[in-house]
Amino acid sequence: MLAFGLSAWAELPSQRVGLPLVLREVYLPGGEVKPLPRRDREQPVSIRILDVRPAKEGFRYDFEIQGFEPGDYHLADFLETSVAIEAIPFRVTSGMPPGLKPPHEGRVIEMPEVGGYRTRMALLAALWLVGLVAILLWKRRRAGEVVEAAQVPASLAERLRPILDRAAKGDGSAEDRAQLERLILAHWRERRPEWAQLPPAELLPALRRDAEAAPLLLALERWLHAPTQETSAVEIESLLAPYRA
Amino acid sequence: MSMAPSPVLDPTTYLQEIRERVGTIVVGQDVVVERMLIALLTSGHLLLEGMPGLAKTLLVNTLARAMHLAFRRIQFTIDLLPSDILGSEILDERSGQFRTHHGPVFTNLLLADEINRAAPKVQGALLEAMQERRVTIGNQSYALPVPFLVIATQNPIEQSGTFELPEAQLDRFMLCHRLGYPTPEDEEEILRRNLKLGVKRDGAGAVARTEFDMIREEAIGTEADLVDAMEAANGIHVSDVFLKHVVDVIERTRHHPDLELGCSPRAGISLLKASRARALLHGRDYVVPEDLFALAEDVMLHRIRLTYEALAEGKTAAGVLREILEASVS
Repeated sequence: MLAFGLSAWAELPSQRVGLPLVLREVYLPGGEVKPLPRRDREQPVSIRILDVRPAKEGFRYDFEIQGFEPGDYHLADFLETSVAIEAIPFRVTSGMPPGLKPPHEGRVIEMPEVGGYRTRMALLAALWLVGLVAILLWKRRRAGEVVEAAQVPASLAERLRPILDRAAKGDGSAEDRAQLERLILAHWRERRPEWAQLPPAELLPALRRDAEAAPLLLALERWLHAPTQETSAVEIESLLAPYRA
Repeated sequence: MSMAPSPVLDPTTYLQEIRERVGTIVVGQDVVVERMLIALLTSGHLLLEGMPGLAKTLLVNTLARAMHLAFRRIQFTIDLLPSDILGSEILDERSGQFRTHHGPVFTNLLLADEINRAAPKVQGALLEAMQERRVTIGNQSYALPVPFLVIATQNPIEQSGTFELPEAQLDRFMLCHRLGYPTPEDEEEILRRNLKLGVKRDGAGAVARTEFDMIREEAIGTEADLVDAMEAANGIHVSDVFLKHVVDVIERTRHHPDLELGCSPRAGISLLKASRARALLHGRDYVVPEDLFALAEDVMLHRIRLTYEALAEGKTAAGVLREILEASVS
């Protein structure tokens, strides 16, 4: 920081952009001065009065100057005074290398307008219609794919046959067989919506009485839980009949 | 109990006849009778929760007489003492010696009415006897008769002046069955039977007959039949798959976010034993998932405890258990 007395001015006080330049003991005759208010962003410096002391026919001031643009300036140009005061010059220097060009100012480019309001609305409506048709076509295609997927690979009966074969022979881990039993129960729970709300304690007896669900469920109980299991491939085929639907 | 050398009936017939006999006296409580028989066959104990007037005492009395078992009833009250249940040593003035007076716990079928009305010390004395099947009076330890089954009742509506059984003591009851009101058809049948009771002459006077007067004295089968049925229940086949189902359901209670206390291994054992007895009662020689789901509520509900958050959200233990059971078949 630099401090200068007006009487001791030998050379122009200066400071770089962004750093404060402090001028002390500056005597100005007349009434108390004030910094001019900043009215825009274009003002190259900002003045702040740090201290004011009365002096003979005037006041002594300590100023802090903040420079934004490099150049030579006069303090009086930035003060509101009641009498004319002598020029008090100072310099704001730049840390940038000399000859550097400032960047170009941004220009606002206006987009070319396509017709008027009506034309734009018509275009938006057309775009919306195209989107709607595209979504409908995509959904139709998906539905077709799902139907194909359901028809092509295998029915539930086909998928169950190997698992049931293993269960009937007592093969596979206990966990797998338990899972199979839960799967069949869940299947019938889903297939009989009128029983879906029943607690399992009531659901199982209901399923055991159901003409369609009971044969496989009872056979499963026999295969998975009875001490001896006896079954044949023909029996499995007949039990899988309701699962082919 | 009378002694007999060998069973006279096959276990399924024996149990079916007992159910039918009880059914002639008590209407529409077949499930409770089934639970009582399950507890008896597996040496478990049964807690009945229900409103007053649902024929709990009549049921136990009828069952005891049908099976020729000794039956005692204790009405639990706040001033009951452990010695009122277990017995005590009494000084015989003539001989100057102490003699042991056996309490009502020395029986085959003990109905502990409104067990939650007694102080925790008394509840503890009974529950200890239930667990160990022995009681100590003075310095002497006495074995309780076999079979020994406690059927305790608690009234869910009268909470004032009661001491709620803690979870550790509830866990000693193999089953906790919630008694409901009879269906309108059963209720009508109860009323019809009551109309036919009539009056019982006693000397020069008379008194109105009750259902208790209709209980037949002769027993079905013998002690050997009961032992045979117990052995048959113990021999029911349990598959590995069924064990997986039991473990799956028990495990789910331990990891459910709404449950602070899940089921103990004792719950799993009880579920298994009870399922075996139920299979026998239904004429099967192996257990099936239906046994598990039919008994799950009675075995598990009194053993789980909700978290405070779940209680604050208005959830019930029964609702959470149903959720768990439904999840295990979906």
